[in-house]
Amino acid sequence: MFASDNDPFPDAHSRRYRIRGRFDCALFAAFTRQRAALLALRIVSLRTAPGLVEALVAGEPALLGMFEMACALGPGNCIVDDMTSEACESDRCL
Amino acid sequence: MILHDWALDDRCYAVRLGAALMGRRLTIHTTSEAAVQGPVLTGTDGTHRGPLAILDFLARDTPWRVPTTSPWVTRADEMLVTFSDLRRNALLASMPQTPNPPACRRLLRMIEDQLSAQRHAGSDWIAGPDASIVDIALFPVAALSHDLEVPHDLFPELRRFIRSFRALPGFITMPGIPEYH
Amino acid sequence: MTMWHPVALGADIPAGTVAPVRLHGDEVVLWRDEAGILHAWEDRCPHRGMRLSFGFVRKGRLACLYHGWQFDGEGRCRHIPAHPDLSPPGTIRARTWRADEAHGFVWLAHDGSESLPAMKDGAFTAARSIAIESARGTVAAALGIGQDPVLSRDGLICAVHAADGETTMLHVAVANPADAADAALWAQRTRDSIERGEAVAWELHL
Repeated sequence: MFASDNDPFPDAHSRRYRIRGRFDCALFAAFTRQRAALLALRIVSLRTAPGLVEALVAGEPALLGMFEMACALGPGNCIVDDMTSEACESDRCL
Repeated sequence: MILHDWALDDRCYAVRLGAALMGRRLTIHTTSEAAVQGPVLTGTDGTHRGPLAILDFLARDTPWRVPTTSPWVTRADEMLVTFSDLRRNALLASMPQTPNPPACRRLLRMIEDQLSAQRHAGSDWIAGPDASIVDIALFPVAALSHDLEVPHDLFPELRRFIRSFRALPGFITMPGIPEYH
Repeated sequence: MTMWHPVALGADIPAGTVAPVRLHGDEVVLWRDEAGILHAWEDRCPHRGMRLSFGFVRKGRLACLYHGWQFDGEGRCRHIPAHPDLSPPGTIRARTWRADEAHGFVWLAHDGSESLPAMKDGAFTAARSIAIESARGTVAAALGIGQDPVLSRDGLICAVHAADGETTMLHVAVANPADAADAALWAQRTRDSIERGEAVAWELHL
């Protein structure tokens, strides 16, 4: 997947999340980084556009599930209208 | 005996709790009227209204009864009813309410002071050496005061009382009072 | 310099129990494991922010009431009931405070590395922790508590801490266990005097 000699997550799964809603993208992106750090997940890529945060995240599947739940709720003052989550093949995602 | 009951009402909870602790079997009849007027107990022995009157009736011939000469029977009744009004106000309010209302703090302070005096006299309980209907009536006040956002760091005696009470055989919870697994 | 604050009577946190404490508005959970070791953490579960002081102690761990996440004595998450087979990563941990005990009081420090200063410790008996609805400065002035965090006078050992800007906890212990009941009543009279703006009377036995 992301295997390399120094990959700390050799068994990692990865998922791509697209989160649309009414929020400050920078604030929401910071929240996703914090949650990923808390859950020992690796953010492979993170991009934002107005009303959109898109993150490719790798790690333990159960922890990815918790990450997804946290993002679906979001931080205070952020309203998530729509969220998609898909398993990724590394080639296609990267 | 039929208890006209509302599951979320603190006064009704005091009665269900008392019956569970005393091993008295009650038939529960759910009615939204009990959410306003409080619990009513009906049976062949007549009709009993008000949490303390019902608890006193249920506690006949048991050590849970307190001599009616104790000021704490009337006091506990008034305190539970006052608390119940405050809590209903807070939970049913359409606008945000002021947290930690002074009236609730005053109630808890009275219980806290009494529990301290009792502890130094060698008892864990409010009205005497043993747990009684006064403790049953005031347990909902202590445990549900979270609903009024009263900070429990200010009341160490109350925390101890809640722990002791929860350990009584037959103890039951209601929504807002957690079970620990 | 490390600031140590007296925040509770150790006797009010028996083994296997949990208690909330506020220090200048900061919310802290104190809990004592079954072996008697005291822990102090930020009162907030790293998972969803639930108060950990609503939780309970099981086998040397503090369990959050909300989703049952369990944290060991170091604050590290060890068990997530929804994922029993998962070994939680070391990144999930409660924020710890430094806690120590002396004079029968529990002391907290937020940062710094200095230990709690040595005190002339006797075997003190806890009498009462009581809330006073006055600012800490008012209470300290009324009691004559200055730089020294603990005041020893007439057989009473007193300490105070600010729960928030308007509320102060007065913690009272005694050197002579036979004085504990009177000291608890003294604390009550003292609370009432301070709240009324009256002078504190130091007579222990009325």
